[in-house]
Amino acid sequence: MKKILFWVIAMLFIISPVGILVLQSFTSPGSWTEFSLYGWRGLFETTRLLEATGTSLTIGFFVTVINIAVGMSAGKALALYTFHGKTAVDTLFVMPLLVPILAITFGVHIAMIRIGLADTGLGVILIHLVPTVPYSIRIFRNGYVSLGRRMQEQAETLGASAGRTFFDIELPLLKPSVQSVIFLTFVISLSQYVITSIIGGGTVVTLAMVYFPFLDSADTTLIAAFSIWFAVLPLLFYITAGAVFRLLPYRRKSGRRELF
Amino acid sequence: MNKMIEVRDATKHFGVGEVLKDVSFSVNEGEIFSVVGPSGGGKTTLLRCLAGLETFSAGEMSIDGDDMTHKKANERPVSLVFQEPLLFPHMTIRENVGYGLKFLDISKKEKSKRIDDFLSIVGLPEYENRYPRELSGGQKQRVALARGLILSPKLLLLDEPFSSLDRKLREEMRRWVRRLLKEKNITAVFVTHDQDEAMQVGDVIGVFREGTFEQIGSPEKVYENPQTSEVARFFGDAWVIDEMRFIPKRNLSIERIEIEEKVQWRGVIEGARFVKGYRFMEVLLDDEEEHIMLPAPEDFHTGENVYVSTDASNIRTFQQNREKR
Repeated sequence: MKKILFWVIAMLFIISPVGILVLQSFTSPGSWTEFSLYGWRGLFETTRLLEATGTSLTIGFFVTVINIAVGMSAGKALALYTFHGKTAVDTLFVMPLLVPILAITFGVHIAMIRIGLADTGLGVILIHLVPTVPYSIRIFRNGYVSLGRRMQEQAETLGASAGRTFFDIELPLLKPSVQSVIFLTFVISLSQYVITSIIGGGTVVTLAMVYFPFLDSADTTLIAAFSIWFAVLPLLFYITAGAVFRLLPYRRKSGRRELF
Repeated sequence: MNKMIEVRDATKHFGVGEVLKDVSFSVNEGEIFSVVGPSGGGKTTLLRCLAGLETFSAGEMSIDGDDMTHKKANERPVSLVFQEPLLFPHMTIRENVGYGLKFLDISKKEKSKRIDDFLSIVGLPEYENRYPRELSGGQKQRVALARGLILSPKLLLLDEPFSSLDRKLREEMRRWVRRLLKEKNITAVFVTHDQDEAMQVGDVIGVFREGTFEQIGSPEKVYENPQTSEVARFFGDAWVIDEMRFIPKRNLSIERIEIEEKVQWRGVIEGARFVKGYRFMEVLLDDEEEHIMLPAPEDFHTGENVYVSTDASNIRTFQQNREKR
């Protein structure tokens, strides 16, 4: 019974919408049956599509890397160390989510113009950290809270240096947190339109900048193709990141098959 | 005998609190030193300082003559087995046991041989490719022990390693660990809050209370001649009359009548207790408002008035002067 319910819900809300999207992208506009590559042809004829995809991937990559570095160190400190003003720091780290991001962006924009970061990729990377880093810190903090510090201490007493402990113990055991941060950060970064256009000033063209104007058109076939392209990117990024993770020592050799 | 570890006047502060107060002791090579005392007395902190996970606020320590006071945990020839096995869940049993060997300069072949040896010492060779979650509590603790011992540490630290096991298994493990440590001539510091365990495993016992050793000596000596009322109370096998005097419980008996030539305390039988196959009577003493449990071959009724009796010659006094090793 439960299984049937699961499949009904999955069918209704997940599988059929995606199916419709795929179907729509491979049929001609206004028809559900006539196979056509019109949508996909239109997508790849879009000016600067590949260039924008590349830009989005590059920006997303750096935003993710910085998120992991910042999120891990801040999350670890919040979870495992005691220091003065910890509560204040903790609150401060969430603040970017409480202030409307547009307000932050306008303020930061002026500063960026002054120091020459406006209209640059670096500027866009920095502004993408605002809506992502608070989440990453939270995720890693929870990861470190449940991991504790005793596993690392055990490794140390067995002779492992701080670096070895990190790669042998901490990173593999925090894998679920790393996975969440990679996926979340990349998707958030990829979807930023307004803050990217303000800080990037039209010079930094990401996929969102190319995609959003299409939403005005009535060409549902083309939009369907575009949406699939848009959705596949984080998945590709996630799989690539998983491949990198495989290089870590002590991967599980048996058990269920994992993407990561 | 060669002193394997020596600690001199070690103290440890956390903020304003003093957790360790002028701790000094030494352990000879191949000896097992049981540190026993009530929970919260600073035993674990002492062990963490010995392992290098914390540093002493003042004082010195050396292992095999080398100064260790400022060495980091991974640079000390010390292995620590915690209360929980803390096996690395993403590694197989074989990888867990061999983990510390990665940091030693020995050949791959030698490593593999040593892992095989230790897997069979702890009796788990067929589990080498399993993961920790597939093992029982006792098996995990054995793997944790193998993981520490495989490094041939000059000092092995054990922090209540059996406390998460059930009683029967715990007793088996005590015997097994003691035999293993003796066989390999390992110097060990063994922390526990259980006095039976301390006496069963240790060659030397240190009663640790409120950040310092109350008394250090052979199990027999500490048991028979407690130097302070706290030591006597903690072992629970002596009846402490006051801060100066005590009577070993085996010299006390329960009588129904007053006997002229004996020293007696009036009390009421509260009930029978059974401990490891023996019958005990619990007596509530009249004036002291204190309970005392004594073996009683004959039956007393609950509520019966009795006398706890002994000869005057059995009353002993504490030797307050603390001996230091």
